[in-house]
Amino acid sequence: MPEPLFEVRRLVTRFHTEAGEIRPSRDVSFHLMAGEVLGLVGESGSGKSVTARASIRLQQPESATVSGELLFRGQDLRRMAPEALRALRAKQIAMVVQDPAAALNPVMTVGEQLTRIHRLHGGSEAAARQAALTLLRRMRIAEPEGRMAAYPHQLSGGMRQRVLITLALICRPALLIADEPTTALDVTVEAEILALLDELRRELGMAMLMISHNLSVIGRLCDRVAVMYAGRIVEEGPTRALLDAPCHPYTRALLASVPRGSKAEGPLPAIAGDPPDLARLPPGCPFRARCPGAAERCGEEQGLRELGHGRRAACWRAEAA
Amino acid sequence: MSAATAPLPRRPNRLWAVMRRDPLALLAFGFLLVLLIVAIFPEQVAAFLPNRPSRQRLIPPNASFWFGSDQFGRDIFSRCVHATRVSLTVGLTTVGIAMVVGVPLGAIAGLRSPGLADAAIMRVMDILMAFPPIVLAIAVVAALGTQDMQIGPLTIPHITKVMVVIGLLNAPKVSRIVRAAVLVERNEQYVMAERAVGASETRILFRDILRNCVSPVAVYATLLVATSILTEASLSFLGLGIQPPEPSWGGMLADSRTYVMSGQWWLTIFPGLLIFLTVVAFNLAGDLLRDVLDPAQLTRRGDA
Repeated sequence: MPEPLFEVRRLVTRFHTEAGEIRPSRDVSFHLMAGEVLGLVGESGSGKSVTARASIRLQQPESATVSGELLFRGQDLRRMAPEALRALRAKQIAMVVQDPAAALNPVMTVGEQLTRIHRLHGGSEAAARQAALTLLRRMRIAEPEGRMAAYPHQLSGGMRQRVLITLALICRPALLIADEPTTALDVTVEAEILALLDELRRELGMAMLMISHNLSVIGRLCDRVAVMYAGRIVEEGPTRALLDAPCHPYTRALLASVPRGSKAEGPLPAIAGDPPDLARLPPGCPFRARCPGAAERCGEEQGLRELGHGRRAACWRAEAA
Repeated sequence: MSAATAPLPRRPNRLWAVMRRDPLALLAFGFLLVLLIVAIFPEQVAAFLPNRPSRQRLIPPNASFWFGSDQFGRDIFSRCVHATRVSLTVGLTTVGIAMVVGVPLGAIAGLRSPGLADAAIMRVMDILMAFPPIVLAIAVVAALGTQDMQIGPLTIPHITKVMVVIGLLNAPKVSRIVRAAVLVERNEQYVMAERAVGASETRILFRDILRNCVSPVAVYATLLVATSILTEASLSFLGLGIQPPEPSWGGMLADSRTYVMSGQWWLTIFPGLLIFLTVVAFNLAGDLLRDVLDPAQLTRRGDA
């Protein structure tokens, strides 16, 4: 097997709160090959965003502690000098965040923000401008020169998200972390942005970690999927196989609660119960309390088990179909 | 092209756009401009020397004494003109001192919060804020005296002492504003986005965080000029600020106290009016500045 581009081993993040220590990601391991798209799915609060940010050392709040190995091209990001890490950013590792309204500096024009990244990494003003204009055109932004002179609040939501993606891609990174890049957009704009993102990704041969709670987005873009629940990856596998025949009961419940067809037949199925309180996690499988097939054995710690065909699941009942 | 996507006019145009919509602010701006010119060229504006007495005492306003004359026969208009220079110098310099001291302290406190540096800086600031400013200024001036101070070869004029005192008294207010703004801005998404593209911490501080703090700080500074002018006038009124016979608005008010009830209204009305108008003008200018510095303001009102 060739060396992965990015590999996260046993990532644990800890928040220190008044309610005690919270671990939004517990023992998370995943890898990305060059050019591969991995989807990270889970409900709100499952630790997707925290995990993704911590994996490239952008944890928020900064007081959170992170342990584990974060290997980018074999080098551990956690052991890197700050300058070396900064040199990797934008050029090798980039990120698109959820909320395009908040992620742009309100007092700088779009053009300033686009060109300064390029210049941060040693480009000239003219070259930076040229690269920005080309990429904006590529993102199908009409009149890119005019947009460059605009402030973020003057752009529509879809336009801002395109600008954000442009910001992330301007230095042609090898790895893109996309944290719910289309959550703030309506469905038509979402489809368009996803298509553009996929197109550019193929063109640049970029690997992507796509975080979403939307299974249809994941199904459309990802090669592999990892499902997170209460800070752990509970199932992982190739997209098609995982969505067609989920092994973990949580994945099954998640897929069952996606609305299908034009008219609902009776109430939408929902997962009974609430997600567990991360400050007081019971021992054993975190999904136990909501699982229809819970048994005594679920009180034991469930690690990820290899099921063959590149699939893994954290349930003792799971077996590959 | 829709209003939401029209390119925004550059900053000077924006200043003009805001002022055109707000005639009161325009008036205030014009008044401050006149004051500034008067303060720079008092000799050219004033017809008489401000401190030279004459026999024409307590003359009501007329063609040669525009604002009348005082009990020593000095031209009140000329004194007001020269006092303008004093007031503006004190107002602007003290705010400058307050900013130089307050902005870095507030920025450090905000960035290091919560932490020891933050706690130490802000507690000292709290202590300074707890004093009534006039009382503290009186105490300091009383301790240092109203004469020029001699430190080695350096002579520090009394006016400089006054400015330093008022400036330091205002520094805590500035640092509080800056700290609050930094606390808000440093947790914004765009700061993390900036980190994600490899910007260094110093760059983030200066180019992102402080740049986003300019608007509240600039607006506050304008209001602070007005407060400082008032403080100087109060100190001079009490005889601790500018020393007679040098003219100052507060000092002129103090000198004319005895004439308030005897009908010589022009002795008090003109310096009083000048203090009032200047303070109002600076406050209005602060509002104007807020509109100009906020890029979202114009389009939000729909006339970009």
